[in-house]
Amino acid sequence: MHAAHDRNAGISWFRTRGGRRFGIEFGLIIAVKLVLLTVLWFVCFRPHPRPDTSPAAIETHLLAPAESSHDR
Amino acid sequence: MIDDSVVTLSRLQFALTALYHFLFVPLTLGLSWLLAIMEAVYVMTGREVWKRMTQFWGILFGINFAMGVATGVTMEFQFGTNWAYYAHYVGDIFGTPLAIEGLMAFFLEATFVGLFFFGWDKLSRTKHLIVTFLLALGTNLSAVWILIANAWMQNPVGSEFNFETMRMEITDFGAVIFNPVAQSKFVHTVSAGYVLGSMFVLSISAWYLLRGRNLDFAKRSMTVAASFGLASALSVVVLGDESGYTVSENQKMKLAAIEAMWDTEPPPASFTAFGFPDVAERTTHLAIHIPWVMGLIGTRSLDGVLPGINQLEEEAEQRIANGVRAYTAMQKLRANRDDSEARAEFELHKADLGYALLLKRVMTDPAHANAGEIKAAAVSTIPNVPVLFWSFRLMVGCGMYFIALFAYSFWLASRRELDRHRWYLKVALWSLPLPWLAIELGWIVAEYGRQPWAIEGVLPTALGVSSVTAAQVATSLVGFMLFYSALAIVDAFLMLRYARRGPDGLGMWPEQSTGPARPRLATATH
Repeated sequence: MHAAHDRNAGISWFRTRGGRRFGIEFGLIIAVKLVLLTVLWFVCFRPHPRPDTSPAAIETHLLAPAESSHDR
Repeated sequence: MIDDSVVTLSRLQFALTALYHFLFVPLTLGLSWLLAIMEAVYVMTGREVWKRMTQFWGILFGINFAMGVATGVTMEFQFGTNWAYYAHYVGDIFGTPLAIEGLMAFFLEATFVGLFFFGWDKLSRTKHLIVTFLLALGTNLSAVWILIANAWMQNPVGSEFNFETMRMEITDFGAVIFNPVAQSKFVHTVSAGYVLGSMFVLSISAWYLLRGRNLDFAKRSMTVAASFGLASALSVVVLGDESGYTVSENQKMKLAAIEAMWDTEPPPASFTAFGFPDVAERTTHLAIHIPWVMGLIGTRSLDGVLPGINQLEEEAEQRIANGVRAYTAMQKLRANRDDSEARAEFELHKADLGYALLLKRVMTDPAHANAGEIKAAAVSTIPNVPVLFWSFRLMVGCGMYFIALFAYSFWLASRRELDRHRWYLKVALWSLPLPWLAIELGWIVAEYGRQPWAIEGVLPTALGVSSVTAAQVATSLVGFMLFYSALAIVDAFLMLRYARRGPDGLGMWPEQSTGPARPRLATATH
């Protein structure tokens, strides 16, 4: 294929006004989403204590008698 | 302590986020290949309309990508917050493909998304086409690694339990990667995504034809969608059969529940096309059986036996009893690592250790289980039969409908009569939600059918939850629902806005080139 023929002809739609607006919206969506996810993390997850996954806790969880709701 | 409300809320939260995430993923999978096909035609023919088609459908692809990206991250939040014991128990294995997916596939995909949108003026046609192909490849590679992780949960190969660390460890990474369940799930899942992508293009194009807008553009798009969609819809059924075959080998209870097969039938087993499963009576009312079909599909033989739910429950009882022996031996071994008798006992029964852990839901100490408690735990190995039975049949029904619709579309496209029947265009338009429905039902069958296991035969779901309170899980669940609802509204708004504006409204493809509105354009050039 000749180089001249291989070249993308004309201005891409993404360089037009509408295309630029789409590009801004595309970037904004991702940026806002990342901000919301971060907020979600700090509001919904961060305040709670971390689950205890120390080796001793795992051993207790799997081996020692565990009280289940069926037993209550 | 196992709190049932924590288990239920954690499962609900994971199910909602996974089902929501998978509204976006299959469309990305399918549209990316359709873009590659359209752009390949542009590069081969040099006709501007194909470039514009690639760009227009690329816009809708971009909205879907931007809205979907990172919605899966919240599931990884949950492995740490709600499923901490799961993460500890199997994290060495499950975490590896997840990490590879992030490092290898997602970065590849994200990089080429940027190049796809902003590289049109910077790259030659051929180079841009390569970018589009690599974009499609990246999205599919993402699916490979996620499905390898998921398949390991369905069929935990290449690993074993280490009683000293109290967790599963990899023994053969090759076996994890080349897990036959992963292979069959991958091809079935991605081809379902291709069907969705094709239906998306077909339906929106049908809407343009109904409105008499963008006629050439829409008909070309429908022709590509019909061809790719027909091949994909046929593939979904064939590859779904392969997926079903692996289930019959590794998850017999799931298969029996899908079929509502209460008792073992003489081979080859029949397929229950219709019926009303009755869990209390353990029977299926008004069942319509098709002789031989299930036996042939499930075993690919005339003499292969597919066990029924009642027999599998009896087998589970035996495995739970063996698991109790392994559990007791493990307790002795942890007290005295030189106890050779306990070690031999543990090695003999360790494959059934997970079954003993099922007892944690019905009693305090599995080592002292009696027959009644073992029986109750065995009953808990039966998933929700009616939900699986109907989900599977609805999914299969949708699959058959897709074949018919795409075959008819292909036939119309080959005769250049896509705009001949308004009823067909309306059917194509209103079929848009069906691939999403089928795909979500497929995941319900796969994941709900795995219950009560998080890892089949290894770790019960209830034991995977964190030591958190129900209130904590409820708080994060509400947060996710608000977040995802907001995203869904924005997504629907943007998709509808760009689809309604269309190539003509966006100034992509001149309206005048599409000819007058409404009349049939059987002579239009394709």
